[in-house]
Amino acid sequence: MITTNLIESVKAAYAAVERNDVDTYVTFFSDDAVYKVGNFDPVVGHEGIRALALPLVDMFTSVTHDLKNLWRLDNVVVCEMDITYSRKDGKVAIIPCVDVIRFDGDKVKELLAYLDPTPAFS
Amino acid sequence: MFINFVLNPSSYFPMSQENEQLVRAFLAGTNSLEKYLEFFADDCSYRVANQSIVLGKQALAEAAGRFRAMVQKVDHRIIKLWSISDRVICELEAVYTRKDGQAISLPCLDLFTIENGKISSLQVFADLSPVFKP
Repeated sequence: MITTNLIESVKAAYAAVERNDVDTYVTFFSDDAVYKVGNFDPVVGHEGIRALALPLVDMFTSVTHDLKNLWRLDNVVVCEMDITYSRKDGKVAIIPCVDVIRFDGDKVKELLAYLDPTPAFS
Repeated sequence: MFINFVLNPSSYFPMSQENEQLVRAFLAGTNSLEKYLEFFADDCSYRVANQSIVLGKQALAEAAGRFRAMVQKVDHRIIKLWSISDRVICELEAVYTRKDGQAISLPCLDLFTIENGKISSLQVFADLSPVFKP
């Protein structure tokens, strides 16, 4: 039985990203969670996610999520959005993305981000 | 933040079998550009990742024709498919075989809108840049 509102968890996790609050962000994930962005190799667990996220905090002034559609499908949340990456050098990239977020209980066990992040980094 | 669609399909909607079958047939692929285009509505919209939106079947014919000339073939291995109301969400592994014979496997999510048995919108969320690297 699912007792937690998974959609609220997802929105709270994105809010943590928007505050550059990596410590809170990782608490939404189980410690063996798989986290994969685009074509990059997946990282695993709190330390893997932290190691991936910290350089991004340095690179971007802000990362915001403009949610377009959210689907709750049993223990999966699918989120379609435009992500706005504002870089410290002033460049802004708006990138369409779908996250597929699989939960085990109230923790995320897998997050797959489907996007082409190239414009945010080039 | 605007959320226009929140639902649990097992509670609110029966799975749309027809739309699922249409998408599975589409993803199975065809060598014929004409047959490929038959899956789409005349006023369809089509977008791959960060590229411009392609509007209408004529523009899609030109874009799909160009893309097909650049690769040998594309295979889709469906990982998970959800059919909800008029939308179909499909996680898949897309395998692009380049003209030089190299096969490149990429994670991909296709988001379809189906109206009257035709694809009215397809958005492809993937980074295809490895396919076109020299």
